[in-house]
Amino acid sequence: MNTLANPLRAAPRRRFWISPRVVLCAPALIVLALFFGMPLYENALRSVGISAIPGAHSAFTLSYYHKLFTDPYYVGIIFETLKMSIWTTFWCLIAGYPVAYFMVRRAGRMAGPLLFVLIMPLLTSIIMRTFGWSVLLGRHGLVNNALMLLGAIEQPLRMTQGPAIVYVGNVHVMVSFMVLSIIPVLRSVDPRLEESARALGAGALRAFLLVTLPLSVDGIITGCLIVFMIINGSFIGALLLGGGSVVTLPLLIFQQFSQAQDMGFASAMGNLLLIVVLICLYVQGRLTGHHAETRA
Amino acid sequence: MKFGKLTNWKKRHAMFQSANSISGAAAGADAPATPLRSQPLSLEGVSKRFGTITALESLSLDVRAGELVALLGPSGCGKTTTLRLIAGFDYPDTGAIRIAGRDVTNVPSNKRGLGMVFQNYSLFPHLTVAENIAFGLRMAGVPKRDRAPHVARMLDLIRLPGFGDRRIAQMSGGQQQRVALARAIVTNPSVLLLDEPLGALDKNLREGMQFELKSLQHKLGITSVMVTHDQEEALTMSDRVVVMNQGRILQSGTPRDVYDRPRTRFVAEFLGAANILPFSVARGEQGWLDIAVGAPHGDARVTCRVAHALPAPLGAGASGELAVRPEKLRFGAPRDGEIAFDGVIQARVFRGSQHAYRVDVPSLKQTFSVYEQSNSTAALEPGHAVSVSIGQDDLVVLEAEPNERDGATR
Amino acid sequence: MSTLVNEPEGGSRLAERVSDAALAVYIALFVIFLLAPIVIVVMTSFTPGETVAVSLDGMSLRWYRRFLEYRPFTDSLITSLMIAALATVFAILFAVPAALGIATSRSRLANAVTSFLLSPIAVPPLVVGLSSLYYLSELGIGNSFVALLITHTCVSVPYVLRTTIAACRNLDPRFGEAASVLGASAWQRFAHVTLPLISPGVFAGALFSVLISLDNLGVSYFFGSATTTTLPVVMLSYLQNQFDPSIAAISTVQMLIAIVLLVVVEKIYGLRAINN
Repeated sequence: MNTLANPLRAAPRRRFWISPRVVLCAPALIVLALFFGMPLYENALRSVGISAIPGAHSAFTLSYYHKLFTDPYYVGIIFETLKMSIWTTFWCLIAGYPVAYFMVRRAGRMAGPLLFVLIMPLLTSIIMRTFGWSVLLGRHGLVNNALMLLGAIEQPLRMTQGPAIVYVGNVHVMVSFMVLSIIPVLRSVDPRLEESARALGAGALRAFLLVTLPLSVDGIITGCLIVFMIINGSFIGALLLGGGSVVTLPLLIFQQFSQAQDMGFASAMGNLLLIVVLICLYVQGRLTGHHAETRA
Repeated sequence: MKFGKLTNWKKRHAMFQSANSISGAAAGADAPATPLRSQPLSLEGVSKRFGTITALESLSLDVRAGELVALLGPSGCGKTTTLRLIAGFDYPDTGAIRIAGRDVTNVPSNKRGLGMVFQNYSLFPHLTVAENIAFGLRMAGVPKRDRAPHVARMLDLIRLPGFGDRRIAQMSGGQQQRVALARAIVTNPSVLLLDEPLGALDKNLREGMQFELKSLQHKLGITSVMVTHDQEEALTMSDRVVVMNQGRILQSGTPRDVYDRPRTRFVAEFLGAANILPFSVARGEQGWLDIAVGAPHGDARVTCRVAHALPAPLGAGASGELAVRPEKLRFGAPRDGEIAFDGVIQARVFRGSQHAYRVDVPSLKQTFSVYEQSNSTAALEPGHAVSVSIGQDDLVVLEAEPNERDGATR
Repeated sequence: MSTLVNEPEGGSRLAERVSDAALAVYIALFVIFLLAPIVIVVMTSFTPGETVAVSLDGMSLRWYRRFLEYRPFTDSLITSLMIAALATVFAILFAVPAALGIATSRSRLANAVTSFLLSPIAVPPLVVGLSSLYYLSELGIGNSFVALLITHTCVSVPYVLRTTIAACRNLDPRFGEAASVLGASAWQRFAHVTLPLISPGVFAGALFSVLISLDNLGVSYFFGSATTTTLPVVMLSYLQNQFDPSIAAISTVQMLIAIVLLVVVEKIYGLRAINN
């Protein structure tokens, strides 16, 4: 944006020369470091027993993590969390990729309205969407009413609380992110590549699998990582739709906080979630960077 | 502070008034040399390096008041770098730049009092036509009331009266070009810079705009520097052409000069088609050479005397190259002061206003390009034997390229 | 569609048509899937009855009235709006200069700074809220409006930063050069050229920031007090304790606010700004 060279380059440098860029970034950096970075750092410290409060008892200990990783109850929760994140990501990908493909290749004039439909859920509160599912599938909900009308069932089914519905709710919330991540990458894949493969004799499906799909991998990776990271930290779905059947780490933090558990353990749980996020970001950086290189 | 900016602008305005009184006639070799200090623009020994690449090498250039100078050359020759240095978007590593006598080498671009028309116009999309034109006045602190008459005057000048409230996106390419020009000159700049101003226009539109641009510049007498890679544009519009290559000025002169008497082979071939003939020297003096045209050990060589503008005459036995434009070659027997070569027509191409012939000349072991007006003579068929005549005055002795020349002395 | 060298045989052309039709059907089902819960909630908000279900007996605004009468709802809505607005304003003040500083540099340092400033998006809101509460409590400002504002601002900065950086990078440098030749100082260049031309991006980011802030449960949950409860927190506790259609009414109102904001930004700056 600024292609104008600095005339002071020609003149002798003053003694305390601070690049204007640094001055511009400073407020944001200071605020985020103080009120975002520091809290997380202190949280990490707290998770190993080191308290930042002057005068409080402070001793390095791994006991919280030990409890977290050895107590079968908590280990189960960690697995449950990962399982939910992975499955949600998987179903979002399966459900979302065809939508992205349609948007880029087939939609034409429908692309605009379809985009609006995709963004619409993101404008509504997560509570609203989750709540909507419990209404839809409630005892007096539409689905039950329809099924009873069709005579398929006598009594309304109990559908609102259970693992399956949690997944449905999660996928509903996240699938737009997946689609919106894949679309730009898919758009950059030249459709003529797939056509050339077909001209060389490949069937439509093979051409897609061998040409288009690999070239859109960047978008898939980005989408999966976004969905995984966000679901990993979310608890509304499990809370409102799970009825206790799905207990994930975020939900545990949410529930236990109000019961004044020991801070160190809560911090350890939170820190674990943070570490998972950092791993995801690192993986994303490496994978997408690597792909960009190999394609160049 | 506002008052100070106002004075600045008025100073420029005063300069414009006096500039108008100076005749904007093209400066040729016969114009009296104006003292360096009062010239609108001069570059002295300017060089610029980007990393390991030398973009400009000790470039010196004077632009006289009111003239339109075209910097012409292939991409990468340094012409755009030169323009950007004059504009102040970048700073030279060595040398000085003077505008209206004032050393601006280290002055930032917003204080140089210039005007500039960009290749894609760079008109501010969020402002109307009038606001775009008034922008420079606004930056100088001219109050809104006083800006309006100037904008109106400009709109009349570019023949778009009443277009002030239009959005930029609503204007055609040609209209945008004129608005960009108006925006650049409304502040009465000492020098107007043009970066490939007609590059974005259609071919048809371009010719019309060439005339318009030139006549406006001439009428207002604004000293201008134009960058272009289109030789036709440079020859049509400029008072002086500066041919550049690889960061150096190869030749500077009127369009006629540079076209008819190119200094080097590069200039000859860049400005149009050229036939290059080898020769060897029998005898050389200041101002003329006795030469034999043809390859050193060829047969049936044609001798003649040619004028030259080389800094030092070539000695006997030295060899060199001649250039001659295809339109200067004539079919027919040689007259006084002409030399001739026998040839056979290889091909003929109809180009609208002229026929272009390729003629095989066995004695020189090369092919000539010959252009004849299509209405003057009957078209000759391939296979036809002809005699190609060239006036000795039309033969141009070429200098060696700067790299070769300087090789020994560096 | 396209001309292929080897024309597909009749059978495979039929297969193509079938797969195209199947895709279209899938998309239709997908749209229904996406919109169904939302539509259901809106319809539920008009039910005259007590049960949380879509009513076919007619419409009523009683739950909207309930929403207006129930102090915690209205108070927390106002708190949410204030927090969202203020946090966005502060986020703009911090993020726009940072974007200007970062956008034109491709150095490793610039990338690192950018990653750090964008990171709040990735961290689970719950973790942010929890850590922030402890930290700000130690500093003595825990559980107050200011604390909530600070935390929301930190979370909002990345949204504004991201779109503003994109807008800066899309800005043709020649506009700045043109302004400079016309006499504009660095400040004038910024005010008259740069800022107007990046403002669509800034406002798109601001829109995201407001919407995210309004809906942010994880961060706000830990700051519950009389003055600092936000709407999502109140809604959640209401859902768990009382579960009646007034939740549907509030959700619908919240959605309308979001749509209005979206339409306003789109009208002023065009859909392009949001797409980017």
